[in-house]
Amino acid sequence: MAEEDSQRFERIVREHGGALARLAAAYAPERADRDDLSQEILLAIWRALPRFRGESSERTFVFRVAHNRGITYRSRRRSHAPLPEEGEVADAAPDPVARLERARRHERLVAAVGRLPEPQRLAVLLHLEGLSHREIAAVQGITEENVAVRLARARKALRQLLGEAEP
Amino acid sequence: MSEPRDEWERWQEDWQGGGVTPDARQLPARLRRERRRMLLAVAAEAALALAACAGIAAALVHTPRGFDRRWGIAVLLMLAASWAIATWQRRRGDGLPLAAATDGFVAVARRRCRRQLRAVRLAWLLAALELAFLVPWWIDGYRVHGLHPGSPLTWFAWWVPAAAIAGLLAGTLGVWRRARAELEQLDRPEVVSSAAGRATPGPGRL
Repeated sequence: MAEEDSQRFERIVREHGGALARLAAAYAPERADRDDLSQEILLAIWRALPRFRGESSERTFVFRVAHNRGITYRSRRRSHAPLPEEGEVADAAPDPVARLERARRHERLVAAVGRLPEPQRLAVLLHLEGLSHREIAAVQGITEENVAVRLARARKALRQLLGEAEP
Repeated sequence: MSEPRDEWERWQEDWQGGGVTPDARQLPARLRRERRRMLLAVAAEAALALAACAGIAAALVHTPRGFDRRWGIAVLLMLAASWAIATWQRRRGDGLPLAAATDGFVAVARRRCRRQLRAVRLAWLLAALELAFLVPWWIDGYRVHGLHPGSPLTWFAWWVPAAAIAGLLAGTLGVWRRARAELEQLDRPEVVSSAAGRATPGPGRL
């Protein structure tokens, strides 16, 4: 890999590493598998980067690779994690109540997103990462209208999965 | 389509509150491991193919019948062709366009699984052909040479080829199972609808 690509890769990891880890968490229900998938995603990006010629935005490219790797990862494993119950979250970091509560909410959301049907899951993942409808459409290869429909259905499903009432 | 922004924003906050940047420093070591594993796989495949070819060549040297010779040469050529195809496919990697949009990617992933299944069927056909040639030769060889199970010739002419064929069958069975399972997952309605996302979605299809 050329020096320029190496620097670019490091920047991608810096800028999108957190988002990629969250995406991996949605595809790998078991905590132990998440690091593995994160590494696989990074490896796939590292390999694909020299062939990237700017046909799409870099963010679209990164999320496409990550999502496609997530699909193959999931298609080779079939388990679905249950939603974590109260007190089941392992993150008992120093800052007590607020941090634990935030971690619990995050874990429940990750598990709920992981149980959405494939197309909804990706749309939601990208939306939660702050991508626009146009960018989501480019990653999934669908129209913006379809993105809106998927997000609307996903919202309904998420409410049910999280046990939240309709507003 | 209007959506309750506050709900999404709350979820976005919850979502982005987690996720640790993965450690990219492990990548070079992982790449080295992958390369080593690939080299080992290629070496094992080559050894298996060469052992099978050598077994048939040895049989050909000993067989006086023209039909058996022609049959053996045909099997030998098919084995060599199958090995060459496998090596060529390995050089091309898994062939998945990871940077493509979901629809294109899923279609290619599905095609790749089907190709693997076809390759396994070809390997099984070759193994059957090879056995059709080898079994009569083994039976005749035992009778003509008066072999016993522990003799070096029996090892070379019987046990090694038999183990190679058993290894081939076991290996291809694993590939068959994995490809079938992967194809089943990729053919699930929700993944199919992802690949056909431009169509108007029906209930439960998105």
